Amino acid sequence: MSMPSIPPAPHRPNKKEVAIDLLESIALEEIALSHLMNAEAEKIQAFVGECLDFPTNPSNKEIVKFNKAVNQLLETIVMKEWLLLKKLENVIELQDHPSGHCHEHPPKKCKDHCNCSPCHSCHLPICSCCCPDRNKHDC
Amino acid sequence: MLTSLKSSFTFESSLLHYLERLSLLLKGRMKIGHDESVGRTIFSTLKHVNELQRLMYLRLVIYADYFSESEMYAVFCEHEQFDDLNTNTFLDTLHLLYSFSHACFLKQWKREEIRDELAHGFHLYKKRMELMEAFRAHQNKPETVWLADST
Repeated sequence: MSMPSIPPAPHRPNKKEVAIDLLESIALEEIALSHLMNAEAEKIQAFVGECLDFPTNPSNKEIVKFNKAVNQLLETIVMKEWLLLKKLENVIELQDHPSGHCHEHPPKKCKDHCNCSPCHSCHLPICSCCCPDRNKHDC
Repeated sequence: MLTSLKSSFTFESSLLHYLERLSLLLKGRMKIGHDESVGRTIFSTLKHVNELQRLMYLRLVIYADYFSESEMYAVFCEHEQFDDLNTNTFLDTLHLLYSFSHACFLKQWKREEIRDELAHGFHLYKKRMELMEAFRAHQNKPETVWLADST
């Protein structure tokens, strides 16, 4: 069995673009779930009728069956939301901090005035992993 | 990246819409006389809604860890449903579902379970609103106004 050959692509996204695409996919999946819930809500409204008179004259068995299907949708959505949350956690782990400050603040300040920019929120120097002269400056 | 959080609010308003229609269905079933089955449905619905609320809260916490309060509030105030979600409609709907269980033929322990789920739902909602209030406290800061205008 040979290794798969990947065709050359005109544009390979970098890590940041991949993370943004993944976040977009999470948002789109959630919007899709919202549409499903809205559609289910409209379906219930049509089944029950404006005056709670069940316009299609369903039997008791049919009403119970309908209610069961409605509950199953909610259960499926809970599971899907749980998966989306896990996906979000993984994407957040994957990408660098979006607003410019580090995941964990540096244990100590930079000894020399290197060019590392300060954190937007805490105004401490960017953590050592981002500093190009980390060994030299011991930051 | 933060704009992907907006989908959470769309989802929440859809959930509310769904619950309102579900309460209509349960009301209709009560009229027909499906007491016990309606009680079971109320319990499972409250349980699922609580789980969804917990997931929504965790999601907010993940974003709040990474963004400032001003950035978070800028997204909230942009969302057109934001005011609706703060008018206790969600709690009213949960309470309406719970009120149907009074008329159902249920064992005492089942009633207590439903009541516990409702209390848990209220607690989760309160926690989420407290977090939002923390963001709202930054609404008049220049950074928030600037971010809200630029999004």
